[in-house]
Amino acid sequence: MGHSHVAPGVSGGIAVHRLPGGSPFLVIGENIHGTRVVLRGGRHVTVAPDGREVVCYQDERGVERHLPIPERLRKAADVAAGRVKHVQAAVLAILGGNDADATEGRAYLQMLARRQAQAGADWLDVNLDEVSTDRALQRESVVAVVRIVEAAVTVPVALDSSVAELIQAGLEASADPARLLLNSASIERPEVLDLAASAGCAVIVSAAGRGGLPTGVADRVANAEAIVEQAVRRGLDLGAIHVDPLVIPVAVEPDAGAQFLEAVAQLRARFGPRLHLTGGLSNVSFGLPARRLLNDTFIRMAAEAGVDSAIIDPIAADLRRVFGRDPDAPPSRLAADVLTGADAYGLEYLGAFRAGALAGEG
Amino acid sequence: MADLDGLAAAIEAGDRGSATGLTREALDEGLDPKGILAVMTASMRRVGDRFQRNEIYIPEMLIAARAMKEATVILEPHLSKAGVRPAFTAVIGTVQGDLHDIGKSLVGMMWKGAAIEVIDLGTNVAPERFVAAAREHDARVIGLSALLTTTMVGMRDVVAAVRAADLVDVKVIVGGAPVTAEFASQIGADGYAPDAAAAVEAVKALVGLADSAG
Repeated sequence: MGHSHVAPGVSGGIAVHRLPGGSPFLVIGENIHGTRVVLRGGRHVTVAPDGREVVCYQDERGVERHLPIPERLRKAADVAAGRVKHVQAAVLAILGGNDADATEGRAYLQMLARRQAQAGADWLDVNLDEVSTDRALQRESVVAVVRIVEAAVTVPVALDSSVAELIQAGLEASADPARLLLNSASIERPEVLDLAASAGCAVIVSAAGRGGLPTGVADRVANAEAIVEQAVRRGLDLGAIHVDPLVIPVAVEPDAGAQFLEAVAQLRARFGPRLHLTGGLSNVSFGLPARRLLNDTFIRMAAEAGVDSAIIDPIAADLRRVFGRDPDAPPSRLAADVLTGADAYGLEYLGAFRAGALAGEG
Repeated sequence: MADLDGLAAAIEAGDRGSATGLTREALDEGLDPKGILAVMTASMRRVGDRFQRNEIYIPEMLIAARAMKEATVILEPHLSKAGVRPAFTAVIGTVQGDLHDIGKSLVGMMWKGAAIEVIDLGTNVAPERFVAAAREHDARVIGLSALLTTTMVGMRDVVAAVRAADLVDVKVIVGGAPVTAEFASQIGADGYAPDAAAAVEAVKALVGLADSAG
């Protein structure tokens, strides 16, 4: 039985995921992100009795709740194309709606936070870069959402932005900045290291280089080493640093999965067990069908290579299921071949998918 | 008889070996290179349509574009000998501060598949580099990609730089996840496309080469 060896333990009042070997696996829940969408015409979007289109969900007590889709969002091309950015809808309802809408917006974000906390997330990633193009509104959003999440759950926030100023706004709004995780610093964004050093909190450092994404293993490792060195020089402990060697979709770069795994192995060997190695692991399956199978397989492979932290959806990426899968079963092997590049561009995988061999793999 | 149906099928399946082999055969038999090119671009249009209908996936579109590219390399000297030039040149890149590559590269490949000369400047491209490349290559079009709301605003700077540089014949077309038609018109861009397949028709319409066959 694969299920028994990933039992969530409890530490500091929150669930902690463990790898089959017993070491902790840190989960950075990615669901409070301004780009997240639900589909119109799906079961999540419905028309309320007052005629307004709403995002429909059940709260913890099983009560049906309606998150209004703000006017501004309804006019966006996304909605016309059938996609509703639900986190953005909640934030806009809080910042610009009437009291009733603001209450629903807060309830929605609380629900997103609680569900991820219950699924054992160690941090809740909050990225609101896409909520608006207006910097002041972005800042206001970060401040509001950090306060809502911290009031709803004891799980700390991971402040995720490509703008250091917004990470700083989140730090200032936090009731407990020392428990935060800052996402992320890089060679081009070293100022985020200063924010982490002065708050005494953890930080994700990415292997992005000057002017582009890393192109191979050596590039990833060199960039990661350079930014880790800068972090250590600022007094950050290795145990407070999560290195993201960057996951690029194998649908576009067939070798990208193997390069990530090799970079992880090299960085683990170079820095030892204290440094955390992380990544947005589900990015690997972008552009391919049956993504859950690919994601589960990649999480296992990444953990085997030395990853002990991941920016994932803690509800979809059930680690018991991940490690309960038989790696030798045909679907797992098909997925592994895509992820290592052995099945370049996933042509065999797509053939198997069309032949129905991956039926039931969401 | 040259197997042009086979060539079309090879491109659509992303079979590089057959695509290049059949292109050589067709040329050896003295077929009009322009006719061969028309077969190839029609293939890529079908690939784009299938992708738009979610019938095929990104890697299948990529390998089709790669097969087309390799077959085009064989065809090119014959095209230029026959006096056939690419319809026009387009410069493409992801705007400054944005490292996202995929959407921009897909559009670039689809444009190449439509027999447009494409100069890909990569990611994190400053406005002045777009302007300089458009001037250097005598481009008719500049394609801008952005995947972040925070970097999307930089598209406005590129439009401004192009207008300031007095590149009167150069059209700017924009796209990327957060970009909308409304935003495109707000910043004074000439065109917008929601995805890589649509970007082909959009860019042809911009330079007045709209294809009535769709």
